[in-house]
Amino acid sequence: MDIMPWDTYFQKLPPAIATNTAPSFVLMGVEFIPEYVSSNSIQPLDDFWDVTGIDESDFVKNVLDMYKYQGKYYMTPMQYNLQYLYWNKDLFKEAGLDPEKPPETWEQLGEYAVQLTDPTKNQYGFGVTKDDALAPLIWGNGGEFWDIENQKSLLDSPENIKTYEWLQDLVVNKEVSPKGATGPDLDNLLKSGNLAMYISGPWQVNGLRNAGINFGITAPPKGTVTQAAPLGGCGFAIPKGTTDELKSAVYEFCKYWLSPEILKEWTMKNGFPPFSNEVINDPDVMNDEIQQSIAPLGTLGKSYNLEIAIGSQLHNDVIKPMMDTILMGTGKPADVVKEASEKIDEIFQSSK
Amino acid sequence: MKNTSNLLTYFNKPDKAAYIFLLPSLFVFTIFVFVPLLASLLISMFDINIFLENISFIGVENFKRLFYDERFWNALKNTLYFTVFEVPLQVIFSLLLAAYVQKNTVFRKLLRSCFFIPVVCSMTAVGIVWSILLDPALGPVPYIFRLLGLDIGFLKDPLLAMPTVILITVWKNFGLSMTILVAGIQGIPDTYYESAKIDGASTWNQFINITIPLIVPTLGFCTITNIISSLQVFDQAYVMTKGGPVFKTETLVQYIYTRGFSVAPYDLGYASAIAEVLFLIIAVVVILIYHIFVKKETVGV
Repeated sequence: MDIMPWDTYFQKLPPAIATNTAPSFVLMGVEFIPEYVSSNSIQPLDDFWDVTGIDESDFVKNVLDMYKYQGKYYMTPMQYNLQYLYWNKDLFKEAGLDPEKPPETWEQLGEYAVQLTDPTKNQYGFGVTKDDALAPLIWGNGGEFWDIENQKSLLDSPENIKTYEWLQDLVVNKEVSPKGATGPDLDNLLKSGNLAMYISGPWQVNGLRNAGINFGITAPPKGTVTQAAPLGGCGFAIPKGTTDELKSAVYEFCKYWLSPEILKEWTMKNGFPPFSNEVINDPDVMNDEIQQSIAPLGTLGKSYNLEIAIGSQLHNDVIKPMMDTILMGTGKPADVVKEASEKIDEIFQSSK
Repeated sequence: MKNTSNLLTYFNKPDKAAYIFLLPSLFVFTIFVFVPLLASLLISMFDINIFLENISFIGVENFKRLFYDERFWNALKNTLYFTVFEVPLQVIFSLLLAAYVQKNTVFRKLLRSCFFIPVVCSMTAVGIVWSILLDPALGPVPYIFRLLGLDIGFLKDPLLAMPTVILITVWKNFGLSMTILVAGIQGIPDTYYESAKIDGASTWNQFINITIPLIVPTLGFCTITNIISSLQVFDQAYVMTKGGPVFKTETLVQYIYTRGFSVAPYDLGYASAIAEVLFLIIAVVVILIYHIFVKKETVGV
């Protein structure tokens, strides 16, 4: 098994697949399915369920759908997650806030963040990075990024502009987040107990446990209109060069991974939500503190950029630079959003 | 037999034998420099991605595209900004230091070794260490500045990020330029300085009127090699800032890497086109500088 940083992984994998020297199977995020399928790099896996004898209905349908593209399975499930709100209970207590009551709305989060920010202590109330689209905020306030079916941008809307203005004020004027912070910077700040609130995935859980942080995890706050969180996950894919013989062996491993015992261990040890009905209803899982906090969020999952081949291009070439400009305060949200929206339409056009 | 014996006679002459000794070097140069250069030129005329799917010939379309690419012009501007400030800063700083450490005392020899240490460290490792030291939230350097009442963003500040990268690059590389210049200065005969002393010239006058003119070829070598490596700056900017904030430190090589290998659609054709343009820029700049310094080589004292 080769383990490496995602940077290195995505540099090595495409040429390896192109030259038939890729591993028999790989693990990666579901957001890459469309581009790897469009380039004929991974094999369809529709026969997985028949070959292994596993019943699809044992698993949550919404989650299984993430591993499909254009109606066919291209990955077998490994884990899924939403984004959650983490909060540091000790910092809440010190600031005079109830440590058991995280903010329920984004407005409230903004107010708490200001109270929890203390530059003399190098303490920040809420971490925001340009690497994250902050979808729960945009969707919560009734905004959208794009209409995938009709291939057009929905970014330039009054709701979104108002939301980005609020965000810019919070970060630039009220300085609740460290300037120019990247995801890893915020991960470190969270683990060192200097960040009071952060929207992130379940992968923070073990780091926080090891760092001894007294943290809570819950749904992202509600916006003025609704509450939602982006769906994400990882799955096992089989590159095109893998022989049928090796493919059978891979299926055996994936079947082993989907056994209730392994999925339960993954959930209990790492804090990821379960997607197997048997594990969801397991008493140990139902009594686990982390799982109790996040289990009700199962219905809040929504796709941000899955199911389109240009999904990662839209995020990297448009949303990230847009967030960078807004969070740095170097551009007015109305102008920046308009420009970004036009770029999204250009990318949709050129991909047709 | 006669042909073989003719060949042996031909290559026995010193000036012709040199070609045989050059062969291994030329072989490596051909395989690792010349062939990839040609391949890159070829790839730049195709629509080709990292998955090697749907390859099609598109001629100069990639070159036309980069004229309208704001990010390309931004990367070019950043690369030139880096070069225009880093090269003179490094050369001048190295020259002044070289003038001081070139004397063969134990202390100054020790200094030469100390100053060379950053050169042997990996730029990636140096970049990572400095980015931690300068992190506004976690680093000790901004903390000390805050105690003095100064809130400096360093690598996170859009205006200060590139100057910070430049200074760290100078810190890492000045030891090499300094060592080369020390060798150049030590090659100047003492008689020049003795005559100047007799005529009453100060140390500074001797430096300006003797040292500098006589090491112009060495200065030229340092400048040219510095310019070539500065125009190709990548490691430190990528590791310390990933091209941010707001693309203020994204250089041409980083943009080539991003376009070809880092983000969809992994457009190798377009990335190669940018690489060809960078090659042309470096070639033109180096030829110009070389001619300027070659002319100055004939200046006498």
